[in-house]
Amino acid sequence: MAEYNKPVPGVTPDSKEYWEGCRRHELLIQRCTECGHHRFYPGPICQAFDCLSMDFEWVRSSGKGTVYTLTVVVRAPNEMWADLAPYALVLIELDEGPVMFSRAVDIPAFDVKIGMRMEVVFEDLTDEVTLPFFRPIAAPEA
Amino acid sequence: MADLAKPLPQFTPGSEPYWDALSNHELRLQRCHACGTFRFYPSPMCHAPDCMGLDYDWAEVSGRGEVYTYTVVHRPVSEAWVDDTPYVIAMIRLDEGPVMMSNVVDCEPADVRIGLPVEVVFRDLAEGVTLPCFRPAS
Amino acid sequence: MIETLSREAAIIGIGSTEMRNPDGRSGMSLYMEAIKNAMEEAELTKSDIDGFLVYPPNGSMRFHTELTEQLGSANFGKSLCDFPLVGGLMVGLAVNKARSAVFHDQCKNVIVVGGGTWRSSSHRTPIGLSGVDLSESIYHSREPISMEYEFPYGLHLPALAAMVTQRHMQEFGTTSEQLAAIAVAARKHAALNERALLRTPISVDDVLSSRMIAEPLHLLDCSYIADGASAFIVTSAERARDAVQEPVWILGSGQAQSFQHMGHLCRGSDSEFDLVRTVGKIAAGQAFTQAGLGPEDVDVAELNDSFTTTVLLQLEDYGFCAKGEAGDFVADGRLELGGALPLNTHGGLLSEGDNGLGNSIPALIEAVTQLRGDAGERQVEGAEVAMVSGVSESLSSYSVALLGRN
Repeated sequence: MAEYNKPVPGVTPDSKEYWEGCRRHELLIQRCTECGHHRFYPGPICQAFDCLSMDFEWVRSSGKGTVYTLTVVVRAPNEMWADLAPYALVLIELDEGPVMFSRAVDIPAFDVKIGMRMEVVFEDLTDEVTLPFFRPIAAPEA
Repeated sequence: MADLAKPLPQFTPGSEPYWDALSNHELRLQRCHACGTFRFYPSPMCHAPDCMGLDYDWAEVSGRGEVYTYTVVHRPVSEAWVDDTPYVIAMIRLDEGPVMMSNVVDCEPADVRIGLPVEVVFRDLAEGVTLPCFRPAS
Repeated sequence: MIETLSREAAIIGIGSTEMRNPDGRSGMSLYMEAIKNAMEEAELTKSDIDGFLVYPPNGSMRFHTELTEQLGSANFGKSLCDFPLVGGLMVGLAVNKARSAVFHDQCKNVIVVGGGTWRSSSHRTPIGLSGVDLSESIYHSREPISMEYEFPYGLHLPALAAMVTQRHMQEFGTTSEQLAAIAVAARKHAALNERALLRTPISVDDVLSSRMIAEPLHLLDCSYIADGASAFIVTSAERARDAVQEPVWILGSGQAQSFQHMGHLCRGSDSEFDLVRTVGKIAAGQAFTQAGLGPEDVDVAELNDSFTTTVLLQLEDYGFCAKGEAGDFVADGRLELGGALPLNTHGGLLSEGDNGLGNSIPALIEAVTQLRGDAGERQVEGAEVAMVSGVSESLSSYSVALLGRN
């Protein structure tokens, strides 16, 4: 595997399962077993209004969602990212509800639009770390 | 073994004259121009009650004082200190007034007591880094 | 004017985690459990809690937004959030600030949260005091200036307290046996507290024969480092009357700090304060004045016991006995249940556990439990007034709260 020259995520006790899921190319989110609310990013307590349950299960997200908003980064933050620019940073509203931060791939950055349907695609950055990205859904959805 | 290194003092802005003097084996403290009070640790303003003097010089002190209080450490702070254990940490009241933390060295820990007269002895830790320690006064 | 604040605010909810964390849960997870337990006990929702004062378990200066995000509610703490990053001043400052916020109608309910993962996040070494590298805790908690002038001498927290103790012994003839009585009382109480980590009764001889850490402090003179979080909820007098739980009233609070470095704490020539005459006197004086009470009115004391010495100094400076007489005062079981001044009825930091940042909250929770009459086997009969305190690691800063029964 080629040397990865960008920062990799730090893992906490709350997010360990999530990152293990990514390594298996599964997008895991938490589901409150009391009220059914889905949440992301990983956390210890339900985020639904007036639910304080700390009981949850990890469920596999469909990996499908919609671009909620985006920006195309033209001027990279520093040298490390220069080879990628321009790139589209996106907030994806998953079909299960939570919104996650990611980067659009397999599409020219300026072609990404709000409302576009996207699906998760995993990229193994290092032997330990796999990161989810999102690409346009090619075929019409059922 | 890097893990076993004792921490070197981390210098802060304004304290260079203190550490520079130590590397020449001199103990120099700030002395207020307005009221003549010595102070330690290095700081921008005079500590004397009712003095707010900002002007000072770095004056050499006698290096003599006495033990104000101390402890013999049997459980060291980290592995770096295992070979020194038991060692003495003490608060030294200098003849000029300020009190500073130090180690009492060159004697048996059991011989240290509150009120013991001591004198400074310089320990070179690294290039340009010298720590003031104290030993029973001769 | 200041006296009017007595009984203008009350504690209506308390919540805690265990003092252990075998699964290595995050500080955030422990905080959420404490918050949940306090809110559920008080039957309050996320939007009812419109103020919070938290000690960030991860040191993050963005912890306020991390916290509201975890709860999924921007209404949580919408009117007040702050970090009482003042070490031993925390409990007094938090009580003071929360009371002020509800009294002036800035907030309806303020939650105060503290704790951390002191034990599980410490680096393990083969030489550990209970397996913990003391350098971790102290290096991380100090400003760089201390790294310059104090740490090169092999300093750790027990050594700071040891030098204070040595002074007390020299000036007043205090003995190790007397200090040990404080640890013995704490352990006796811990035996009655299921949450406590150390519950096997000990004797004075056990303390004296435990390994020497920094003369004259033995292992059992030092707090027992733990993980955990705890929380309490403060509301106004008006709302407290409708609270689900029996309210425990804030009668007074006080705080005072002196100096960062030992060299300055030793001074005394130009002030009444030095290593063994602390500004705890000021903090307690403020609290007693607000409450219109004195030391003789305190039925149960939950005082910071980072070291046995910490208790000794407070008993004198808070006025429970004269300066220099705490050694005699603590003898004959006076601090034990059934004694004249039951102290640390939960076992304190010495025996229940010391969860680091915000470690004065468990003491407050025990005081509330006592004043509600919910302390079971360790209940102090007829307890009407309780004192709680927080003290910084170098015994330089003190905060006090006086709480009263409904």
